[in-house]
Amino acid sequence: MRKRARMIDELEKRLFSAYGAQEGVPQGDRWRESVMGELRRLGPLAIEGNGEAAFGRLAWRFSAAAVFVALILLVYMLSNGFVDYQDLAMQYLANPIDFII
Amino acid sequence: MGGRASNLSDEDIIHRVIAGDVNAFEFLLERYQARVFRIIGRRVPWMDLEEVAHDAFVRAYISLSTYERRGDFESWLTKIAVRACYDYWRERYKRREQPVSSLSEDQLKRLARAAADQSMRSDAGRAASLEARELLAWAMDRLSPEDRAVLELVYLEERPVKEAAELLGWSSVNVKVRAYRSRKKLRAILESLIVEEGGTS
Repeated sequence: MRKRARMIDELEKRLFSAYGAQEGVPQGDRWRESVMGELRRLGPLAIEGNGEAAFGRLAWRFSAAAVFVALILLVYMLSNGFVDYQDLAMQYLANPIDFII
Repeated sequence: MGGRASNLSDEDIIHRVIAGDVNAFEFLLERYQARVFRIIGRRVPWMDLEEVAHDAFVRAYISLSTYERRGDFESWLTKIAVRACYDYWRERYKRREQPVSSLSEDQLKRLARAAADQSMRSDAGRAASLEARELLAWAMDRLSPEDRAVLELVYLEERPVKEAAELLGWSSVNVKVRAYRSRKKLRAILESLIVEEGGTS
């Protein structure tokens, strides 16, 4: 039994070392041309390079969140009334001491 | 093409390809084809090597926009090459194709017994190495594609578990467990070769 285990160890060792000793693989121009031929058939990627398209994808990614925030703001404004905050700010800056809401 | 390619970084070339310059991909092809052929050459039979390498580079081209400078390009490409081999064996396994070895079972058994005999040290030449590879290919052909992939990475190439997990897209625990089991299976296959019909070695 022990002898068999030793034999398997030895065999395994030899097989594993043979795997590491593989020879170099030649590659030709013909092969490279066939790959490039297929890529040319597929055409340019032109996805990320198009800034407009990239911005469009980014905008769509956040569109749901934007709609959600807009709805919340709408509900808030409808329930609290519209206040012109710019006018209030200008009044405050013009006369901060007498400013009363 | 080689002269001009050496002046450009991988990032520059990738940027050009993504911007629509298909021909720029040939720089990457030229730069990395030897490495990809080495990786795939160890994993698939000689006759299918070019086809799998072709597939790996086409995949790399198509998914180039997902690369996004995560790590270095070479590691990213290695991952694609390893997975192309894994898919090749899965496809082959599904089709139940014939084993890759051209030797008969008797010849394989004779070779295995000779290789397992520690007293026979004279067969360290090229022929012995070829025979050992033939034997290994035969034994690996009896493993599932998953077992084969993990065994190659962890035991044959001695890559760290973490790296193997990354290349295969599995968890480290999964790689550890599978590697252990697949080695056990391989040893059982080898044992079946060196054990005589009567059950003695």
